[in-house]
Order: sequence, then C-alpha cells, then structure tokens
Amino acid sequence: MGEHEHSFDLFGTRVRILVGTCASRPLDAGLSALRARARLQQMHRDLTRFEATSELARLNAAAGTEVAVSPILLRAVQAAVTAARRSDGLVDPTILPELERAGYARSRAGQEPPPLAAAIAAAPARRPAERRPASDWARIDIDTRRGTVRLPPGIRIDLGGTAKGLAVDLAADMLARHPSFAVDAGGDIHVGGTSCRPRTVLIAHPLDDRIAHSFTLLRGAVATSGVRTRLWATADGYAHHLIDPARGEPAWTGVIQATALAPTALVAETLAKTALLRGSRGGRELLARHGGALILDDGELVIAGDHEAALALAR
Amino acid sequence: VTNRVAKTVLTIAAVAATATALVFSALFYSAARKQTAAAAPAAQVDSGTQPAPAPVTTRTS
Repeated sequence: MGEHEHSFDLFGTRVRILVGTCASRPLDAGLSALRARARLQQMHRDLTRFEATSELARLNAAAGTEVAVSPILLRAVQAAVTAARRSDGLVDPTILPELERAGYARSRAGQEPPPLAAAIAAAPARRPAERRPASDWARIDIDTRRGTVRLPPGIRIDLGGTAKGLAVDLAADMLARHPSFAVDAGGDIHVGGTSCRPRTVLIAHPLDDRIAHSFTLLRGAVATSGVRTRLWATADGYAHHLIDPARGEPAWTGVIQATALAPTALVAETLAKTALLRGSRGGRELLARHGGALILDDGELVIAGDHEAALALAR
Repeated sequence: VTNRVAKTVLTIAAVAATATALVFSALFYSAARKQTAAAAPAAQVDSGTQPAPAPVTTRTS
C-alpha cells in the first residue's frame, strides 16, 4: 500500500501528482493520475500567454470586443478578477505590458536564474507595492449566462498564478474519492483524500533550498510565491515577475518568499502573492487567518498565524 | 462367523475413520480460526488503511 506518483513538466515548473492506492483496485490510482494530468495539460494549452494559438492569446488579441470563450477560460478570467478584488488590486491581471517590459515576454522555463543573494544586494529601497489608481481589471466584462468576456480596449491579461491555482484545484476535485492525494504544481499544492491522514508539508528556503519550516495539512491547499525562480539580470540590475502595479516595476518589499494556507490553491496563491507584495508587516497580518510564512530578504523566517489552522481547514 | 468378524472390523474401521476425520476437522477449524484472526489486520490494510502520505515541498516556482 502506498501512493502512486506521477510527475511531469507543465506551467513552466515540475508538476507532481500523488494518489493513494487501494488493493482492491490497484490500477485506479494510476489511471486517475493520468486523467488529472490530461486536465492540467488542457488548461495549460488554453490559458498560457506564451502560445499565440492559446485561447487566452486570442482573447487578448480581441481586446475591446466581446468574445465567446470556453467555460474554463471564463472561469479563469473570473478567478483573476476575483483575485484582483480580494487583493485590493495588488494581484492585477492587467500588468502584462509591464511584465513584458521588465523582461518576461517569453517563458523562462528551464532557464537558470542568477543568484538570489546578488539580486537582493542590488535591489532598490524596500517598500510595499501599491495598487494602480485606475483599475483596468474592474472594467473586464464577464457574462456568465452568455459565456462571453470583453477586455477593455488596449488591455491584455496574464492569468499566471491564478490559472495555475485554479488548475490544481480542478485536478484535486478529480482525485477526491481516493484514500489520499496531492497535486503539486511547483509549490501550489492541494491535498486531501478519504483516509483523513495528515500530510507533511515542507517549506523550502529560497536562499539555500534547505527546509525552512514544516507542518501538517489534512485537507486544503498551500501555495508559495517568491522572487527566486522567475528572476533575471537586466542592464540595470535584476528583475523578477512580481510587479508592483502602481509603479509598473518588479516589487522589492523586503519579502522574498511568502507561503499561504487556504482551503483552495487559488485562494492560497492569491494570498501568497498579496502577502509578498504588501511586505513584511502587511503580509503577516494578511496570513494570520489561515496561517503562512514569510521569508525576508535577510533570510529570516517569520511565521504568520497558527499552522494548526491547517488541520482546522478540513473541519 | 467370518462375515460377522469382517462386519465388526469394518464397523470399527468406519468408526475410527469418522473419529479421525472429526478430530482433524476440529484441528483444521481451530487452526483456520487462529489464522483468520492473525490475518485480520492485514485484511484491514487491504481494505483501505493507508501509510502516512508522502511529504510534499512548497517552494518558489
């Protein structure tokens, strides 16, 4: 008895699916993992901004007009707008031009980032990120009855982390009947299962990859957002993919990694990114409800809330 | 007389065989019960008891 493990590259990261096996149906776990993988791959094809043929790319190209979209793109756009609202505009799907200007126009999957310590040493003065005065995301029209989306003229969106969180949750739904399962898409993790056995979750430190903290999670999600992996050198120094919406530049807030617990990976992903963008104080306050952890740019680990809340997520 | 002796011998043999079968049945049943009792936890594992789930690591991706 154990767990069937299936791993593959997707979303620019390594995805790992674990499904608890059952002696009476030994092939069931493997088949379910393959079905979950197919679901994730389909979502990636539809929602990536790096492929001109993706449904998201076609939506971006048609900004200003009403577009009939698939149910999954509709749901992903809804999720992105909800994340923007919940984060008070910090997790903004309309910052795509700024992201591309910073140097993230193409996928960086497989590219080795420069040393994080060097980027931290060269970073500008730390300050919390701020929302844009004009919220273009609030002008995205979503008609769920007719299945259409209309982006404001001249606006393109990046679904990024919210799409990945949503995909992890939908894959997790497919595995819920198994004794245990985990869907891990590069740190966005959703765990659960019918056996009610808590799973150990380890938080890797971004400066040296050692285990900075661990806790157990019975059912629910955890997500980590940080500057370590999507980091690159520029003519002026270093840039990363977490943009300060108000300034249109990579955010250096004093937090280099945030981990959040939540009932779903979509919410955890939004909380983690928001916490990092708000900086140490605001991030700690934000994560207190469900629990989480911040790692500051001097390497210090700050625990927010109570990780026992993780076990309470299932109750 | 010979038939009577033969009948008696056959009767004794049948009784002995029946008694032996009963004794062995009882022993077999007892052993089977012990085996079933010993196997009970394993059957429970097969029916869904899981080992601790494998740990997962969250990191910046």
